[in-house]
Amino acid sequence: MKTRHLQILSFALALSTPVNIASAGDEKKPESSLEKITEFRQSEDDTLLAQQLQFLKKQTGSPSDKAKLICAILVEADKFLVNHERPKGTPALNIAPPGGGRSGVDPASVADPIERAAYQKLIDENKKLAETHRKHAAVAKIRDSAVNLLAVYRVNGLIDEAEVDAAIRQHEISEDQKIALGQLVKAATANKAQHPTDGAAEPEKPKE
Amino acid sequence: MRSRLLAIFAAAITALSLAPAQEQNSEIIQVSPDMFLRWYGHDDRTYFVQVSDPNDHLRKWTWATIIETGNDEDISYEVDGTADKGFFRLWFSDQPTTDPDGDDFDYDGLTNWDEVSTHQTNPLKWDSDDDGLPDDWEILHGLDPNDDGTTDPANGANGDPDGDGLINLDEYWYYADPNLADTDGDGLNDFDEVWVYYTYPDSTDTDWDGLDDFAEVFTYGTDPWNWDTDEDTLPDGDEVLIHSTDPTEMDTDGDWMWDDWELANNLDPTDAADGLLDADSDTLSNQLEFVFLDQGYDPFVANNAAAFPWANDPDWDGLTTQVEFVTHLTNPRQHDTDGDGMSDAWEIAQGFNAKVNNLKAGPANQHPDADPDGDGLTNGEESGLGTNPNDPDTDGDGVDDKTENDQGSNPNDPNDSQPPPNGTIPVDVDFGDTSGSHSEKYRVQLTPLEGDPGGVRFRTNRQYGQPQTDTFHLPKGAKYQVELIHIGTSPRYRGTPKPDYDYTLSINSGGNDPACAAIVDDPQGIMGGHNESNSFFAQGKTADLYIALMTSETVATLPTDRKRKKVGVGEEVNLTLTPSSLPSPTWALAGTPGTSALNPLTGISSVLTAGERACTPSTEATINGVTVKIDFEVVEPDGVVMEQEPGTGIWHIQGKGSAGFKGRPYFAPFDVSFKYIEIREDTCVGTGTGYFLGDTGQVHPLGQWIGVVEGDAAKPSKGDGVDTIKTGANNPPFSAGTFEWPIPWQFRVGGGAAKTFATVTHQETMEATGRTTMAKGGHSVSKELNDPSSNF
Repeated sequence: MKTRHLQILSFALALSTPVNIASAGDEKKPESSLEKITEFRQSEDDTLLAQQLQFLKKQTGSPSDKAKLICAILVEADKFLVNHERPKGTPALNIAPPGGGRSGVDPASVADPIERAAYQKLIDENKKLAETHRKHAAVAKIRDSAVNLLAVYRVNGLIDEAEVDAAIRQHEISEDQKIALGQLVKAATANKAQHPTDGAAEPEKPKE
Repeated sequence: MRSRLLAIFAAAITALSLAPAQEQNSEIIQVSPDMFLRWYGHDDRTYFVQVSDPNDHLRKWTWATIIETGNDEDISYEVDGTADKGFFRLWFSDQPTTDPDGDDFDYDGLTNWDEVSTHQTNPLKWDSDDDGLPDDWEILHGLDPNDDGTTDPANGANGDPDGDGLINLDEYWYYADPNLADTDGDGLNDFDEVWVYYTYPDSTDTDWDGLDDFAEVFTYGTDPWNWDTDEDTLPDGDEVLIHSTDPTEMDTDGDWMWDDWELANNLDPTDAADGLLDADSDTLSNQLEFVFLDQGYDPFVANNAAAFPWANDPDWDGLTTQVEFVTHLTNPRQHDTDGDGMSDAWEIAQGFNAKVNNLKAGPANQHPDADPDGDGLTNGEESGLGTNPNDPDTDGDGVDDKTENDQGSNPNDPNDSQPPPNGTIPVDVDFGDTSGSHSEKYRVQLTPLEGDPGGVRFRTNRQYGQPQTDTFHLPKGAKYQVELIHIGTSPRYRGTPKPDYDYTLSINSGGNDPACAAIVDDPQGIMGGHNESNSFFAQGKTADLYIALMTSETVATLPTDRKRKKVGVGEEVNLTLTPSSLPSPTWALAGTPGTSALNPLTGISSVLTAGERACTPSTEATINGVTVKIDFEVVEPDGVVMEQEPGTGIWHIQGKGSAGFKGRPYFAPFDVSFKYIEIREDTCVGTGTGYFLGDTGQVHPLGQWIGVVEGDAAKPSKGDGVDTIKTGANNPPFSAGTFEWPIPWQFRVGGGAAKTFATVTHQETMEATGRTTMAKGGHSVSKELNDPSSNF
């Protein structure tokens, strides 16, 4: 009788294990969405756009839906770059107080208040320049990544040219910009060594 | 009750055997002199008695000449003698018997009575001494049935009294005489018959073919175990003694017609000339029609000669039937007429004799294993490649044949001397007839569809019914159409159906490149073993062979090696599988990927985004169950090298202790790209000595994030900003001293968390002369106090 009880207990434990595993696998992963991507329009926080692109790279699901979101990132990034020219001038990691002090020193250590104020002004201007530079470069890289990714989707037959164009066209950007972005993806697709040439039969779309 | 007298005499009995182990059907009874050995005799039970040697109680026993049958009453023997006690062992058997003395209970060929009275052997055991040799066999051959070899090794299982090498146990099993080295007197000793020639040592003609074993082995070279060595249905003895044909050749005269068939059709199996005769006057000679029997031709039935397929090449040796038969008289149904492993067409082209088996005859330099041009390929291999065995560089392109074969270029094409751009992998193709008939010969053919500018590659079975593994060196990224072609049936094969079309075909990649593998797409199922027999399963069918290759190219154009497997944090790497027509790859990220990402996960391309921190991701693509992969190493920046910004000079104020420069930071290591990171300086507190002692505690504040852009080939990653690195304008009086900020440098990827990766020291040095040195990140400038120049 004792042995029989043990068997029943063991069986019950074996049944319970998958339930635990399944619940452990239900952890919510960060997801990308059109709303989060378009938040960038207001905040111009490039890290938001970078995170959305990274989330997309890690998500499973419909390649077509993902491609549409990548197009949204591409449009937002490109719109930013069109609206914000790359600033002139070169930012500095450190600058020096105008009175001849040590470069990179804390403004608080500058004794002369006039010189300190002038130094602080230079620091603030440089910081603004550096941030503008950085953001412009970061968004440009995001745009390049999105174009590269869309080109790979195209090469793999996960999305076709018309779908890319349609995804771009649903955004509120100028007609010229829509055409330019479509051409950008098309050119990147054509540049890849292994791909069906445009106009050739598209490979069958596998499910991801 | 029956009473008999038994005597126990001290040392009066000579024991003939040691005591056997206690047996189930026996019991030991102790009896004193002048007493009775008494037991209850069960009805129909037969009893035997052993007496223990009084001088070696319970170890040595002798059989008493007693066989009693029970009758449900006591049986009693009176015991007498000089010893103080006696032991008796009572054996019994319940075998039904009407003649207990004359029966043979243990079936060893000796009666019970003879066993106990004459041979002193156990009437209830066929092998009294347990040596594996029956009692009667031992007695028949003069061996002691009570000695397992302990007393005299010659009596045991491993004994060899005749010294022929065959032990007694084998002599018994093979019906040989242990006292005769050649039992059957056929000239072959027993050991050789059993273990060398596998013939019977007690039969002079094991296979009953009319030739004795010795003659088969030493005179005719025939198989003494096979009555028809050449499988032409004629017994070996008949061939030698009656027909004067060769018992080892199915076709003695070499006219392609079997000996028995010639005899049955009143042709002469020893005269090749009758092969060229035309028995049915249809203009097709006898031997030509014979090899096309399976296609409806018959030497004795007139066929339509006009429809004969002269222009075909049914054996795929490159020569039409007409050329083979009319010009060279080679067999148009055999790729390799003489069976030496080299094709007819190749032998003829090279001046070899296609009708002489060069394994057995012919010049030494025409042997299939010879390499007359010394290029590392044997004649047999050159035949398979179609190259010239007398020219190490057949196509004269400056690269020898073996090198071309190994590197994957075509040794017969002068315009193809270089290895494929991505190299090759060895691909083993196993093909041929593995069935018991050993009858068929095949050619495996690879027709390039992508990525191989060369022509069709093929290999041919060297022997009928002998599967072989041949290695192709195929360009990575290529695609081939695989065909298996049936090129002939052994002329020796007499089974049905003929051909039987049995085959096996498999393809496996070798090499040690995990990024490349052979992948077979076989929707028609031609791979594997096929024994359909009545039809050639692979006829008209093909499979696709992909030499799948995963390649990588970094998005960053610097460093210039964009195929590198070591990348910086956050780097993007494009991954591509070739050939592009690969079926449904599925991608996965393995290894220790950290925060790396791989996307998309289907299709021939994907993009690896390296993690934010050092890690070792492995990108895998699985196609039809075969995985190719690339292992990456993701590294973080580990140092900063500051260089003076081009076009700038050294800052200085004459009369002031001062120096400075504009620096541009570059990020090590320099064999990866860090274009996807951003950097900044963290806060720190300065330390001064001597002249700068008062500056101790001066704070360096937290800097702003700066991007990183591509630098140059030597230092691919540089900060997207310059660093103003200068001292203050220091006044006299001067004394030696230093000031240092050990500035922590941080990086981040995609706006993620910051991590310090290096400490870059801002260091100012003052000398007593006022000479000042400014150093940071490995670069330093100095200015004398009164130097008038300054170019910032």
